[in-house]
Amino acid sequence: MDIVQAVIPALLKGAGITLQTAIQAGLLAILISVVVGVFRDVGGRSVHFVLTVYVEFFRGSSAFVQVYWVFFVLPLFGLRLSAILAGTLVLGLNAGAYGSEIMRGALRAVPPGQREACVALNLSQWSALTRILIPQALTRAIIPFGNLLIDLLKGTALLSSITVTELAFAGRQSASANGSPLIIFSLVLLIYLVLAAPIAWTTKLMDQRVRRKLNIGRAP
Amino acid sequence: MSIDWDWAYVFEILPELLRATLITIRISLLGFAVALVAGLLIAMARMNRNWVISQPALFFVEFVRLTPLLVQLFFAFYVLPVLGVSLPAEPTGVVVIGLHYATYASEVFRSGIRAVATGQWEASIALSLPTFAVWRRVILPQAIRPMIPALGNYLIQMFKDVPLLSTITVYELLGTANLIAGSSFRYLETLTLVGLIFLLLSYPSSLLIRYLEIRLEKS
Repeated sequence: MDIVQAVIPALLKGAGITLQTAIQAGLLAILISVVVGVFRDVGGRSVHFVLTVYVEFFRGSSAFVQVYWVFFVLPLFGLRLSAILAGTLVLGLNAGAYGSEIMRGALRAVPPGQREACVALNLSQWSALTRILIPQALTRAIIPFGNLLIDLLKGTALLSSITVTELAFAGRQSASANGSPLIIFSLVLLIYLVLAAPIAWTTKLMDQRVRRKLNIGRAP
Repeated sequence: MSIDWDWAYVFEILPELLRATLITIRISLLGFAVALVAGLLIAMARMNRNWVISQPALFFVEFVRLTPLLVQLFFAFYVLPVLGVSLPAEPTGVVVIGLHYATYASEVFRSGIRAVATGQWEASIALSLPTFAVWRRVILPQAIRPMIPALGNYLIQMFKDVPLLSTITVYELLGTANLIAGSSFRYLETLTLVGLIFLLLSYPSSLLIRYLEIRLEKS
């Protein structure tokens, strides 16, 4: 028990940084998801091209390599970001690329009758999107977005290798300083579980509530 | 600031990076084999009517999916020797990444097996086929085809997670690149090449899987 008491403050401090990074990157990712997901389909040809390159680039190469690249290569271009800022940006951009595909799929899943009704009612494209199509798409995207946020939370562990002192980093440091890796890494895994499980529960509850209220069937 | 892209250096390190790419591919394929076998076992355990078998399987799946692969790697790498199991870094990495993706694969297996029409089960019973033949000849052949795109996507995702193994001293692509860049101090070329190699391998593969998906939907 002594060892637990000795390492818990350091681990909790790391967990705080993990949570902070995950929330910031998560907000960025959701913003990007919705904007890119919508504009890839309704924007013009050049917008579509640029956004496709962004999405495929971030989905196509490894997130870990992206983190390294930003940390080691951006300073060569004269862009000096702190490790935590660079890491948050990369994770947000990476998850945003995946999230925009979720958003796109959800928009396509809105029944075509809804689009036709918007045209019939002579709604502008802006109000059709913001009042009819995006809200309906979002109700279908709750669970996938929840999974995305969980992936993002887990992804913050990657930042331990670019000197961000988040939870995985704190765990590794405590293990090499105190020994007893079994207890320390078990604690670290447990803390990640405690952070991630509420996201899974909340999104599941939200999804059930929305489905009941809107009277759409269970998720396939 | 000075950005000087050195082509001579690129061609100097390319052979070594390509060799390391083969290691990354090898780890992905071995890990995927672990994921398929373990994933099928987990799926069958979760579908078992006895909760003593299905509940631990569910717990394992949830636990693995809600915690980071990187920390799972640390756990295996630093804790197993303490427990008296000493495995070299690469097999440890293969097993951990394989088990991690096994939990994702088990969900694919489960939904694939569920999607086989109940009439097929009933017909097998009516024909009094032995259990093994039911799985081998009736259920799995119908279940596996629609699973191929989802499993393929996980293979690509796993391939992109192999660089995490560099943190437990496996010299796959990123680990090798780090080693090279650490001595030449040319991070620009080295890390950019690593990113490009990943992109060049995984983007065409994902296009192939999208094509398979469309073909499966049509048939």
